[in-house]
Amino acid sequence: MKNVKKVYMYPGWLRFWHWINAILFLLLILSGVSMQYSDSSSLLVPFQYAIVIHNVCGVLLSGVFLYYLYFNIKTRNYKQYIPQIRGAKEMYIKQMKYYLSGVFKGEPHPFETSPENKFNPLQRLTYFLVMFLATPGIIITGWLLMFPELAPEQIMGMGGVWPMALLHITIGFFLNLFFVGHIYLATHGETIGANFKAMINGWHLHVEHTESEEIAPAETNDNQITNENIDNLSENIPNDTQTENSVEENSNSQSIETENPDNSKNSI
Amino acid sequence: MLKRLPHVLLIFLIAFLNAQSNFAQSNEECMSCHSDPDIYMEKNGRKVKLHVRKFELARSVHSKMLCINCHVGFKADDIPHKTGDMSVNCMVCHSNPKVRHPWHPSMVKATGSKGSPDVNCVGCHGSHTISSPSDENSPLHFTKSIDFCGNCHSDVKKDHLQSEHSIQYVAHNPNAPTCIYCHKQPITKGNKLSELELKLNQEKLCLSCHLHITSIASQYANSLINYEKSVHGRALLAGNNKAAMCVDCHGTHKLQKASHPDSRINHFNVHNICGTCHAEVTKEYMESVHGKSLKAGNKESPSCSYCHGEHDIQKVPDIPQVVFTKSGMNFNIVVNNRMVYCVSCHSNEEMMKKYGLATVDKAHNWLPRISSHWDRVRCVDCHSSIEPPYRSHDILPPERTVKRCESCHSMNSMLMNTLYRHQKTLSREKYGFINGTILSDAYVIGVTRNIYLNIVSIGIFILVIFGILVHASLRAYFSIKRKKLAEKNI
Repeated sequence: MKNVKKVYMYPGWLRFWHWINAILFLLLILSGVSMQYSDSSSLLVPFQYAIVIHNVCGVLLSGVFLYYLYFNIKTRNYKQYIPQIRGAKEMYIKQMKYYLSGVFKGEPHPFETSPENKFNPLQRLTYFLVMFLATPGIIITGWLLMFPELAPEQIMGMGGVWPMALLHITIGFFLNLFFVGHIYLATHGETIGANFKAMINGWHLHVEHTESEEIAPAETNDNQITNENIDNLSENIPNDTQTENSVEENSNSQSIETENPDNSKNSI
Repeated sequence: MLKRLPHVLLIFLIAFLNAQSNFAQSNEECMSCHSDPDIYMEKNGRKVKLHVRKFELARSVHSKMLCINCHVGFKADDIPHKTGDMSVNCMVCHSNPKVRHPWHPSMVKATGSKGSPDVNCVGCHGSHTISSPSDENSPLHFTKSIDFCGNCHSDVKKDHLQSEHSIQYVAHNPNAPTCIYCHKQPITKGNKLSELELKLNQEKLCLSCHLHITSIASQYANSLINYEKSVHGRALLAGNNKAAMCVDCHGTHKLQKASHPDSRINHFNVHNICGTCHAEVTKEYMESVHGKSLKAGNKESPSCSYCHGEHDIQKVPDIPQVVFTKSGMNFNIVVNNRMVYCVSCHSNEEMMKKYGLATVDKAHNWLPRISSHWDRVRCVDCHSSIEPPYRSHDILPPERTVKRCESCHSMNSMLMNTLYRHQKTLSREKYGFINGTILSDAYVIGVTRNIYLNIVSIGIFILVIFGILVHASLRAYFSIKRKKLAEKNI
C-alpha cells in the first residue's frame, strides 16, 4: 500500500527566485544563442536587440543571484548543495542506474526527497556546480565584458577580453545544456507535472512506498495502484494560499504535513 | 658593285644567248612599233595597250637592258610575238624575293610577275618605269612606303596617317618610322610564328627606338626600363601570350599620344584599354566615385594609370611633409601600400574643398590610435567594397564608407581587446555611463565566429536533445506497457 505525503519543501523566496531566474535564464539563452550563431542575418532575435536583452537580463540575473545567496545563507539552505563525499561513487551509480533502467521499470526514486535532503546525490553535485561555480563564473565574466577596462590587459599573451568571452560562452553553453536537462528531469516526479506544480505552490508530494514494494520488480500489480493513487493525488494538492502563507511564515523550520502520519519512514 | 657582279654577268649571258637566237634585236627595233600610242592587242576579250613610253624606259633602272632580256621567247616576225604565257619572269635575275621583302611574308608565294598584286613584282614595282628602291626619288623608297603600301592596305594607311609616327614623319623627323621600318621585323602573323614570339618581337621593336635610342626617348622612356619588371612584362617573359605589351594598349597603326582626345591611352579612355583584359575591375572602377566623375568629364579624377602607373613606373607624387606630420602617417608605409596616390590628392586642401570633402587628416581624426591605423589599414580597406567579388576598385562615396572595424579587430585577441574597449568608451560617451555600459552594442567577435566551435556545440546540443527524446519515448513506451499489463491482470 502507498500513502500520499505532502511536504512543504520550497519556501516562497526560493520559488520566487527560481522562476525569476528561469525567465531570465531563458531570455539570456535566446539572446545569447542569437549572438553566438548569427551571421549578418539575424537569428531568433535581431543582433541589436539581442545584445540589449542579454545585457539587461544579465544585470538582473546578477541581482537575483545575490538575493538567492542572501537567502541561502540566511536559511542555511546552502547546505543542500554541498555534495556528499562519503560513498559518493556508489550513490552516483545508483542514481544513474535509476535514470538508465529503473525509471523504465517504474521503480521508485532511489533517494527519497525530504526537506532535510531535497536533492538526490547527482542533483547535489550538479546544482552545486551550476549555482556556485558556473553561475558566479558567467556573472563575473559577463560583468567584465561590460566593463572591459577591468579585465586583465593580457592573459597568457592573449588580449584579456577575449578569454573572458570564451569562458562566458563556454559556461553559457553548459548552462544551456543544464537548462534543457533540468526541465526534462523535472518531469520525473510522481507525475509528469508534479515537480512543476511543487515549484509553483511549494508543496512536494510523493507516494510512500512500503519496503516490499521498493524491492518489488517493476511489472507488478502494485504499480498500477501507484499510478492510480498518483492520479488521485494530483487533485488533492492543496491550492489554498492561506496554508502556503502560514507555512511561509515559519519557512525556516520547513513544516511537513503528512496525510498518513503513521508512515514516517521517509527520510534516507 | 661586286655583289651585283653575278647579276651583271647573267644579264650579259642572256643578252648574248638572245642575240644568237633573235639576231640581236635592238630596243630601237622594238620601239619602232611600240612607241605608237595606239598599239594594242586583244587578250581574253580585253584591250591591252602595248605602248611603251620611251622616256620611261630610259629613266628606269633597266634602261641599259634590252627588251628581249625580259620579254624572253618573243619572235619579232610573228604577230603576236609569242603565244600563251607572255608574262615576264623577274625572278630569273631577282631571285629569292622572300628574303628581299621581309615586310611582306606573302612573298613566299611570288613567282615573278604572275599572281595577285601582293605577290607579283609589277604590283609594287611597276613594269617599264621600274626604279631602284634605294633611289631617294623612287616611289618605292622606304620613306614612301606609307603611300605604296597604302595602295593595298588603305585601312591601315588611314590609321597610320592619324598616328604620332605619321605626324612626326610629316614634320620631317628623321626617326619617324614608315611601314617598312617596322614591318621588316617579323611582327605579323604572316611570319608563321607563335603569338608569343610575335609579341616578343613587337616589344623588342618598339623598345629598340623608345628605350634604346636616347635621342628620341620620350618622357616615359624611364618607365619603359621597368616594363620587363612590370606585371605585364614579367608575364610575357614567362611565356604568357595574353600578357599586354606595347601595341595591346597603344594600338598598332593608330598610335596616338595620350594628349590626343581620341587616343586609346587618353586619360578619359585608358580604362577601356585596361578593361579589355581587366573587365571586372574596370566595371567596378566605373561605378566608383572616381569613375563616375571621370565619366562626367572631370580631368582631375584619377583613372587606372594614375595609381597603377604606366609601364610599371612607381613615381611617387610630391606630397608636402606637413601632411605626414599632421596626420601621423608613415611615408614609407603609404608608399609601399600604394595609398600614397590617394593621399596625394586627398591631402590637397584646395582640391578637397572643391568637392566638399575633408582632407585626409581631418576626415580621420575620430579614429583612435591613428598612427597604428595608418600603418595597417589601407584606404581601400574602408573606402571600397573590398569583399569578393569586389576588387577594391569601387571607391565609395563618404557616406557609404565601410566601417567594419571588426574585420581587422577579430584577427587576434589583442585587436579584439582594443576595439571592444573603444566601443564601450564610445558608447558611454554617447549614452552616459550606465546606459552606455548596458546598451552598448559592442560584442567580442571571433569567439563566436569559429565554425568548429559552432559545429561542436550545436552537435552536442542536438545529441542531448536526441538523448532526451529517446529517454522520454522509452519512458512512455514502458509506462504504457506496464499499464496494459496491469489491466490484463485485473
